[in-house]
Amino acid sequence: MTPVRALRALALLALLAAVVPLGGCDDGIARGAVVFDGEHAIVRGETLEGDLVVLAGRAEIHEGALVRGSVWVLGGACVVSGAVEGDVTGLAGRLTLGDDSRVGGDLVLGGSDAEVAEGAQVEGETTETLSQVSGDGASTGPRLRTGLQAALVLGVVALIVSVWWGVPLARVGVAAVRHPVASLATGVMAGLTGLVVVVLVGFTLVLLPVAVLMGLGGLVAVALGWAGLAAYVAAGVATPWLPRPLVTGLLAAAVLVVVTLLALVPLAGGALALLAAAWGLGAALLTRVGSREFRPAVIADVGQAERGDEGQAERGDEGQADDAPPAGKA
Amino acid sequence: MREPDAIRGDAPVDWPVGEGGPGVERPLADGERPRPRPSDRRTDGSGTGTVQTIGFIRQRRWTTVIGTGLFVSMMAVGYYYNVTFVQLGLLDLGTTHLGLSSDAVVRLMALFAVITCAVSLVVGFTMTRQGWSAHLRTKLRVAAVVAAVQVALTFASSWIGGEAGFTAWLVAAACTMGVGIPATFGLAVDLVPVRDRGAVAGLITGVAYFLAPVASYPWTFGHLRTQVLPVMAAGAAGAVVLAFVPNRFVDVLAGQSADSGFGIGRYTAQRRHGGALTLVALAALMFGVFFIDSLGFLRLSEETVYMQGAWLSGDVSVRVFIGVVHVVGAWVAAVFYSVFDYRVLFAWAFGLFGLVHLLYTFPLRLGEPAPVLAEPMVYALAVSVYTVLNFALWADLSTPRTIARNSAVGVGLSGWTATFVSTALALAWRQAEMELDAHLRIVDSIAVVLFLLVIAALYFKPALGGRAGREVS
Repeated sequence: MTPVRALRALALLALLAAVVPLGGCDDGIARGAVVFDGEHAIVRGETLEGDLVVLAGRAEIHEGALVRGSVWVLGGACVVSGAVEGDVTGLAGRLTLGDDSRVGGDLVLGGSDAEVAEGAQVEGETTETLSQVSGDGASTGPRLRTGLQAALVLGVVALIVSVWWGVPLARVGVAAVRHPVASLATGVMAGLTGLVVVVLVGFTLVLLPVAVLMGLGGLVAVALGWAGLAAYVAAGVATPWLPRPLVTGLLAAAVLVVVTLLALVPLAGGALALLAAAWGLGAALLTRVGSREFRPAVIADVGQAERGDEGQAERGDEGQADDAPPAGKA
Repeated sequence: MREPDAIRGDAPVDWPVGEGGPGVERPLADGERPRPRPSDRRTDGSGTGTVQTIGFIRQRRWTTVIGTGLFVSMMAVGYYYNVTFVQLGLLDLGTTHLGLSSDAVVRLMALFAVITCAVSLVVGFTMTRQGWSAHLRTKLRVAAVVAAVQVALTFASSWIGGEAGFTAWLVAAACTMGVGIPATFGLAVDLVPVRDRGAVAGLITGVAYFLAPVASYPWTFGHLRTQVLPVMAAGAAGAVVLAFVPNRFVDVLAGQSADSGFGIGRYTAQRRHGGALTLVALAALMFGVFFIDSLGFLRLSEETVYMQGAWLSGDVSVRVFIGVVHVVGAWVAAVFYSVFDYRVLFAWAFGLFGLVHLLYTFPLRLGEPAPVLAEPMVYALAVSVYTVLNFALWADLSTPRTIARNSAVGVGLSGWTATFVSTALALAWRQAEMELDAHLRIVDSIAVVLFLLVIAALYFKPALGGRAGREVS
């Protein structure tokens, strides 16, 4: 084992071991409150020390109540009629700022269905990081516009990545096309558990930025998967007059447009879009974000020995494996 | 002009190859796609003939297909019987109908576990030594007799009148189960193609665990008995006819294990020394999985707030949700088993158990138990992953000669010993009045430690796959 490999292993173990004390704290990791079910209210005269995080359910900050921290809305509903000393950030769910509400910090609207009354006071800046999306699914226009904007961004990024990091992108594309079931299964598992982990990390409050970064990392991996898929298709249709990076960019944008349109289809559309996301995510993960080729195990067929191609098949794959130790040492 | 995204290629290999590989740099011309490699056509359902049973259907090899179906139905019914009637129904019988204390019933269940383990080891080793392990008809006959006795025992269970009768019934049931483990798991080398072991294990797990939360409600002895009895009786009758009446169907199936695609497990393809150590190590790992599951769930099942919101929810949609998650988990695990090394599934199982126990303890630190569906969801994924592994792994470490013994060690020893030890430990902790939070945190810590161990094993020996295994002989 090389020193670099040993150091990487130690770093990995140290990182994983850091999770153990996280699960072993006797007290809360930070002060505040997390709402993930039911209805909760901070009534007049009450003060919440620390942040308020709303993941699901409903939270109300009544007039005359005070939150001595920030408010994060990641799901569910939050109605602010009282005072918040820190920032109010709405990333998902529904956020309502009443006439008597007062925000000491910034107001960040990043995807939540927000309603801000005219009388609401925001001492810091108000930022809209993404177009607001209605939670009831009625406003397809803004969703389509957001999707097209994202497609444009993905197309440009895929073009750039294709120029400078063509090999990693190609590996992801090969995994997505040749091993769609493995990609989908990996994406589904990683998506389900990753979502839970992100929410769990968000619970700690102090690690909320980490949770946001993890979520963004997941989105980047999905985008990489789709870009890889575009790169694979582009390899077959590009010509000297139509360079592959350009085709890759165009196709990547087209993939996102298709997924956006798919998501607009009633009932099954959302689920299909999620499956498409899982497919991309899985392809990216199987290739370790394009850093190595995905090579699944080779298993013997029935009748293979009689046909005499068992050894050939085994050698054919094993001889090419860049990560496989020599037979017998594994 | 050189393409900006020139791909490194390896002369006889395909595009793309790792940059550190031995390849020669070669641009991929426009309009050229990488050639497929052998693994592309034979792995995960994306290529032709990847699930070999589908190929058999196309070839109209109906005997082989029905044989695989027979294995799936036998194991799914048997597993459903085990996780519902044996693990839940008998608890209700002891406490509600016989008036025994919960501790007394749990002690008896521990006795049940240890007898099952002992009998399965004796029978497994005997079958291997006598050569019965390699004979399909012998295994089928043993399995049929076991099924018939279990039907009779289940039928007679409603006449149990006291603790002595209950104990005698449990001893008899444990003996049949102990005999049944090496016999039924041993059928895999005759009926399931090696390449389809993951898919078949996923199918069994998906069927059993979809029905378990959806159909077993409420967890009462009478309901579960009424539910399993007709299905088991029909299955046992069919198995007896098949096993004892001479027929060409079984004769054809009996010859299948001679093909290495059936009889030589995926991890036995390359015969090496040290196989016994591999079996012991994997049995120890599987013991860890069963132990964590059992120790955690024994405590969780006492918490009404967790059970009423999930497995015992009156809302059928919640139970269907858990069932669907089990199916998704089984499908994912089946794919993972086919394309990865078994250690990846161990890592997922330990990791998921670590995560779910962290999830359960987290609200306890913030206040009081707060059930959310994420908890049973992750729990269901973890259970499905290790169940698929348990159904597929032991056959893939075996040949027809060794399958009975290896199944007894893998399933009997690791599974039922873990149940015995975890039950005893849970009882001791209950008597010591250990709090829920502390109990779950210990379980969580064990899961995380084992997760780290498996991750380290994966890191330092990254590629076992289906390429380089060891025969356990």
